Amino acid sequence: MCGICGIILDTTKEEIKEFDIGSLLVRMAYSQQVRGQDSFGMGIYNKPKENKINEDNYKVNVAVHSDFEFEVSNLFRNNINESPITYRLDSLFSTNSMLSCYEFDISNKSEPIMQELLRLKSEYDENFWIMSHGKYLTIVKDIGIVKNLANKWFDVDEKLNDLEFEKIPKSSYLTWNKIRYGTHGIAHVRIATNTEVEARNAHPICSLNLADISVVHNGEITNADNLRRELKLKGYDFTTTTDSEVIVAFIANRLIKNKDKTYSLKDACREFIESASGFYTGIVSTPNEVAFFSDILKTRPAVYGYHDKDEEFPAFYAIATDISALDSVNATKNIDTINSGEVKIFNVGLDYKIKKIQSDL
Amino acid sequence: MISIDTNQIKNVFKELNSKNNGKGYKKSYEDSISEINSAAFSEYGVTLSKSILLFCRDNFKEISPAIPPLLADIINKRIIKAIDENEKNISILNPDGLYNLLSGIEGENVKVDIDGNAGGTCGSYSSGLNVTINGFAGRYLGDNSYKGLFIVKGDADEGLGLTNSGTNYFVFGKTLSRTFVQARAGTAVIVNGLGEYSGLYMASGVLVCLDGKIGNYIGNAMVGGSIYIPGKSVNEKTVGKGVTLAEKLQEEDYELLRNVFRKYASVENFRINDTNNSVIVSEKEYFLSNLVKIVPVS
Repeated sequence: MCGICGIILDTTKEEIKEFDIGSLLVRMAYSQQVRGQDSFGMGIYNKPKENKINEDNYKVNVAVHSDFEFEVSNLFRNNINESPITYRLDSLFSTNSMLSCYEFDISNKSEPIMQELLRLKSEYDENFWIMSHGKYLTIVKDIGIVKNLANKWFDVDEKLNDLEFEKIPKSSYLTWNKIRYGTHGIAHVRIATNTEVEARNAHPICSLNLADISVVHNGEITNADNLRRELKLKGYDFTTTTDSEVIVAFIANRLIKNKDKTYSLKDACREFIESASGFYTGIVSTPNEVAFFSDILKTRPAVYGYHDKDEEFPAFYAIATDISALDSVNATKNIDTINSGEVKIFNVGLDYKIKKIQSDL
Repeated sequence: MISIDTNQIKNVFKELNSKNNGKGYKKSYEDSISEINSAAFSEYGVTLSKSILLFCRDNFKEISPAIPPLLADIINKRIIKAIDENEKNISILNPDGLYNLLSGIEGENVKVDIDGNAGGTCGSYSSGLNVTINGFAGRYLGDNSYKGLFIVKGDADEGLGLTNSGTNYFVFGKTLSRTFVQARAGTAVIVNGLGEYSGLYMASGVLVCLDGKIGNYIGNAMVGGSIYIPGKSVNEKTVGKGVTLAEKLQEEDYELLRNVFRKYASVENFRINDTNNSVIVSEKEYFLSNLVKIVPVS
């Protein structure tokens, strides 16, 4: 019984611009906390900065055990002339896990470095994993409840005051506050069912083989092991042991396979629903589209609503598991549900091209 | 009239928490639960259910995430206590989408006002309550309830009235899907839209939607009762398997619908497409010309 949610700027009425997605997602996840208490995570899509818009801007967010920090830092240092660490989210993980998270700017070197990171991942196993990578996407996630993690991650300002979060003075706010703004984002509160409670098993989960794609999921995919085996044979990498990662790998596989055809995220999601058994709803996000889908029996709740532009926020769509989460961000106009086997697409319109990480896929 | 404010109960929890901090060490989960139990008894005269305590102990490692189910349990226990003391008017403030409010509560003609959004399974297995939700309702509102009335001022999520045995529902907005599935009796009036698979396996009762978007497969495999939906929304997928559209509404249908509406017309005015509907629904022509009836085949 996890809780999923998302916020998408309505680009039919608004020009593409960033707004405070972070506080909205925290609010929605907080209202769905009763659905899952193990971990919380958010994935936010930001536009590349103006001075980098034409470059091959690429960022990667990695989690690394303190014993291996030096080697990972060296990897970036050896490959990039500039200072490798753009900023560090040093309060991201609980001290027990001894992991740190870094965000690196690997512009112009993305392909060789991603290859190297995938090699490191298989070498270091659970001591090193990739949280997110791409031009637009940043994922933050950890074990814990929304209230505690929001306090850790960013300055709980007046926008969240009514949730009665404790205000803890911390210098690392500034780093997260930079990435809390975006055009769209997804979030998840997790209650583990068949896999361990670990930070890497928290959602959103990104594909290691396709940039800028992420997924949050509620439910169980009963044939996940079979799908995982098929995808592994095709060369797809997995970080977690969850059934949810199968969704993102499956969709990445279909998008890569059909990238030269007229094939959309909606087609990929439909194909997934046909292939996957079980009871689930999910949100898959790319820089230009967000797909919200349900299994063919619609046994998990899935609702969406619309927020009209006001003084504080532009017009946006909100999607969630619980109807009260829509009310928490005042997105109660035209509330509707995802029907059985339906894929609902929300367009964002950021420039996005399917670009695989490994040439042999 | 008694008023139960969840924020007030949260403040009691917060005070306990701040006392923990003042002592300079983190209290164990068991100690925190024990303190909450004592506070619930001293403040509200109730004790937490053993089943909830076991559920929280098995599922939560710390006290914060256990608070919503504990809150719902305290509220439900407080309401049961008030009903035992012959209280007929109860108000719940700031429900914040809590799950399982009013679950399993019996109270003949007890009026409960919920000032905000009700979470999932509100009023399940309840009996005789007259509930008004001034907000949205989560999944499975009043499922398996025996009798009573649920009025929802906003929209209701899926599964409203699931397997109910004689409860009445009135939704000013829409229901999202699977309304009145396997209903055994009762009536549901939805003002502005009905989701897919509504009336699935319905055995008896009346389901009426006045206007708005109608989902697919309405009345699928129903064996009894009747469903009325706006004729303008009907397409080839609207009517489910094993059911058919009655040719024309009859005088007896009008009588039935009129009686259903008269039950609620005095409750409050309601609106269809921004038109005050309190006059329209009393018009015989409105029913006869706008609604169509779905019934089981033979």
